[in-house]
Amino acid sequence: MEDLEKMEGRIIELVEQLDEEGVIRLANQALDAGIEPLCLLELIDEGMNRVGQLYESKEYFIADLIMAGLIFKDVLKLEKMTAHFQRSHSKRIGTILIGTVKGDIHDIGKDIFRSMAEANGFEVLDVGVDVPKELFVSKVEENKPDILGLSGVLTSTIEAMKEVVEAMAEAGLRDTVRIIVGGNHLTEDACKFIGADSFVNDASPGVKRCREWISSPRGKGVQIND
Amino acid sequence: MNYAVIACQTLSDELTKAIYDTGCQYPVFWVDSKYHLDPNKLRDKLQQEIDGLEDIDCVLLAYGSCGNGLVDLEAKTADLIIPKTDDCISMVLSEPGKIFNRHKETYFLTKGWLEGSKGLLNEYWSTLERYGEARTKRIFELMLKHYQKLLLIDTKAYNIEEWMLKAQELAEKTNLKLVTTEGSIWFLKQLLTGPYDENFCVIKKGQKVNVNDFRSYSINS
Repeated sequence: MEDLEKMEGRIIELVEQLDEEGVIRLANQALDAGIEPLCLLELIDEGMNRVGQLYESKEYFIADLIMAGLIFKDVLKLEKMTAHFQRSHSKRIGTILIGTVKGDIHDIGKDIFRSMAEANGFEVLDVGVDVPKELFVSKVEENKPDILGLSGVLTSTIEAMKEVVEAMAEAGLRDTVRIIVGGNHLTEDACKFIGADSFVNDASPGVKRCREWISSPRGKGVQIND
Repeated sequence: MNYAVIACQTLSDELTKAIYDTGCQYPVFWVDSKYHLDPNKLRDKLQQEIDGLEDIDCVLLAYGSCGNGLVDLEAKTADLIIPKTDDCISMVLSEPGKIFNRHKETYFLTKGWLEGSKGLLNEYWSTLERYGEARTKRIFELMLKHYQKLLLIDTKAYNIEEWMLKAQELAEKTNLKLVTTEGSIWFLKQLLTGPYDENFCVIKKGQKVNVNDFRSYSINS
């Protein structure tokens, strides 16, 4: 059996190469060899970051990002992983309500964010795509999440995101929740225009931001962006 | 006044026709369509192109907001004129003075999009070669799960019959219904000739493109 340290490096490489069968095989071996599930998840996350970089450098397509997301989910479904996370996350660290805003039906990034957030201990309520502001407001009122996540890819979603934030304020809910917006087109100016607490262009920094919020005192966040 | 055009390769057929129709003789600097994928890299590339121009008073950008890739561009060397529209799709589908309604469940295509190195057609074949049929089916089902239609836009700038066949092949592979609609190159023609009215963002030399410059130009149905 390979040394665990070598296995860890190899797992990252296999994720980067998008070798689904190879990742599952080696992940199972690593778990049998005693790797901590959270550590395995960090390796997969590192591999996915490398995939993201290859996508940005135009070597990978969107299909490859989706494949990376599928590999991530495959690993989460491994028996030792599900057993561990069921035990350790019987009390979730927080709740995130997410949705793709009205006018947009893209959800690849949102789904990857959801998987990562759940793996990091969050309960995630996904209200779907093309979600009108009224539904965001009613679902926040009903479920009282710690964080509201708004996703979108189209340029026009900036207006839709702003409308959600304004609707939350009109309903008296703005101060009950932190708001993070996610999308490749978002900038600091766009975030300020929307009135969100933070913005991200990728799923992984988004989950990191949510973890920081949960573990810090309530207040306005600062943006993080890879 | 000296003009130059900086244009996305995706619009090569449409802009070439607009140039022919208007008799415009401005120099055109083409930018690879791959920059569509990352608005931040698009911004950097366009800024580099703008900064590299000499003896130009006004730069005409054949782009829309493009995922806010054009926001924060600085008009360092010349004025900037940008169509006040989301992207090249809304550019060829919108009508003068009317708010553009983008249908959500539709994947829009032109010849430029189909033949682009990172276009859906190339993506499909690349995915098939890399992952095989079963995984490709799985990936594309996820990628396109909320889409119902593939819409090929006939801008009259390319041979629609030839590209209809390719679009049909893609529709069959992705289980989408293929439809066509007519588009127009009025926006590009007006970009070349003016007037630079409410349909355009006019950024004077020394200023910067702001996200508000593109506001109130589109809604979604």
